[in-house]
Amino acid sequence: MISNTGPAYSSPQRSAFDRYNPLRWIGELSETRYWMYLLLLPSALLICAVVIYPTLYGMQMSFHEMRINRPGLGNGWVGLKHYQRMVTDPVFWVSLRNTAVWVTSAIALEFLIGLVAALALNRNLPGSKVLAVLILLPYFLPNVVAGHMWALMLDPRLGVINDLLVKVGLLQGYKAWFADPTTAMAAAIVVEAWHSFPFFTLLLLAGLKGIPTDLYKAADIDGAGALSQLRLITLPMLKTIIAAAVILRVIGLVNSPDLLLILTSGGPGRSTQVLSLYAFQTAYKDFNFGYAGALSVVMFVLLMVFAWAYVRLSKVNED
Amino acid sequence: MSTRTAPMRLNLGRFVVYATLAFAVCFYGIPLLWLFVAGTRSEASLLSDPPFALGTWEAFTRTWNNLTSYNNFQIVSWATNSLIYSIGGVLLSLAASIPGGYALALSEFPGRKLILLLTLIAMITPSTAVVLPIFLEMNLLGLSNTYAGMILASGFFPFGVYLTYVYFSTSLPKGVMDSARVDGCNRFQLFTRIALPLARPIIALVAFFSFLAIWSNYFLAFVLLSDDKLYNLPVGLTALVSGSGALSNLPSNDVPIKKPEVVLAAILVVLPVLLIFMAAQRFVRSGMLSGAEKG
Repeated sequence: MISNTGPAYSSPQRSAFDRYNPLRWIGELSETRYWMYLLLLPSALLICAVVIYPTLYGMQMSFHEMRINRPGLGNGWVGLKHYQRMVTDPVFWVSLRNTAVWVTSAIALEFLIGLVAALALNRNLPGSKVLAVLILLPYFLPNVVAGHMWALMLDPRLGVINDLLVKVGLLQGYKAWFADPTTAMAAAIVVEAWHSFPFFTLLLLAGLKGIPTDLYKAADIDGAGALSQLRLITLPMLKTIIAAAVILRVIGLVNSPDLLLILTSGGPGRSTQVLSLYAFQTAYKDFNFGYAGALSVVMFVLLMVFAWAYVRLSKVNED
Repeated sequence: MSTRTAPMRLNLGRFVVYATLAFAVCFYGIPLLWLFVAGTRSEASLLSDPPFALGTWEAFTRTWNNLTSYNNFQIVSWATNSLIYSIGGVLLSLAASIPGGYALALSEFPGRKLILLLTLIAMITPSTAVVLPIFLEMNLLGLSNTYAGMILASGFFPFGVYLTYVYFSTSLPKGVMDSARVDGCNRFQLFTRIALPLARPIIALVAFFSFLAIWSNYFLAFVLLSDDKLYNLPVGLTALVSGSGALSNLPSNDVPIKKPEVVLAAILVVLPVLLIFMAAQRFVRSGMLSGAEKG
């Protein structure tokens, strides 16, 4: 006997307390076929409240006029008006292009650094356990901190980085990296890569541990060099995990305007304006929730394509 | 882990590996080191001394006093808010993920596949796409600018459902559960007396991840909270920067928030994260690795 109350359904005489004892009530309920759904109830309610309802509401928003600062326009149905506007909206296209640049370059850089670090850590040399932890640590640095830290380090007057670059001889004088449209995006990409490459290191390291060593031994015997081993064994074996990591990171990056919001707010001009920032500014600076909703829906659809790819990939993994 | 080292080649290879790792550590460590050193320095020292000069105790205490007493100890209430949001959000995400993951791992039932798929989709739903509707929803419910609204919006952590599901589907002792059943446990007692005690590591892991996510949450808090009394630390830090013009290099004003104060505030945001990470790094790393191999 684990419990001293015994099975809930086998005690015919119950005191008044028992009848209203919530634990007993839940115990009885757990014997019905509703138990599974009861267990799922909290997460289902939360999913509805913060995922499903907002998603549907956002879609509905995108077909309506919704300008908080101009209530005179009403909340009427406007059909595809916002989507039509988007096609001819130059800012939308600039943001889309910037999003593509931002996401692909940052992720390419993260992947490269992450792969090199993972390959190095995988050698299991003395000290690499400690290093693996150290490398992981700043990944948990809040975006806000990473953003402000780099804003300070790239500051044209404090010049921690500027100082270094001038000393090395790469730069003539101190530079205001985020004030120049030609360098703002590049600087932001470096900051983002700095912050998130350990995500790749971690996942790729897990993948590397799973590659049988025999493959490398055989390749050694066949006289394959380090580079061709990397190209012919390591990368193909890591294919699924690379794809999964890239997709997760794409979703994360497209979703979160945090870093750009802190570093540049999309400026100077529109040089670092990405879609998520544009949607946010449309809603909270122009108070045009309908158009912001349409922008979000477009992002949602773009990302769901990635989501679909991710689900497909995890299915491939199970087989 | 068996010692599966990749075949060792020339010593040159070894050198390259160490050089790479050393570079990675510098690339990562130096900015962090700078952040912590800069917290001890005065504004003048930041501008004129070499980048890694150490500050003085006096400068540090002055910065600390400027920061904490600014606007009637505002930063203290932001830190308290952050703590309230994080604890509330962690409890909420545990209450949702643990039973949810348990149900999904326990058995087949109608709708299980659909729910797993929904969880997966929820994991990757763009937060920017839902943040505006959540904002309007909170207004509708009268929860905008309340602790409850912020906790509700940040307390869902679908990754937690998934982690718990993966954990329970491999570690539930079917034999023990069957015999407990014979001994007269009802299914609720199976959950509370067998599954929950077993789930301690996964509860810790989910709590760790959702705490970090909520503690560092900037965008959601920025959108949902317009009352500066309710800001969390990340939003507060940004407000501090933009409100004081500390980073703008404009002619100085009389706000006592300068660059050192900003640095110190940033350290305040990151310190709990670092401490918790250090305390938990072993199980977090193994947990993340197993999660990575699974998914």
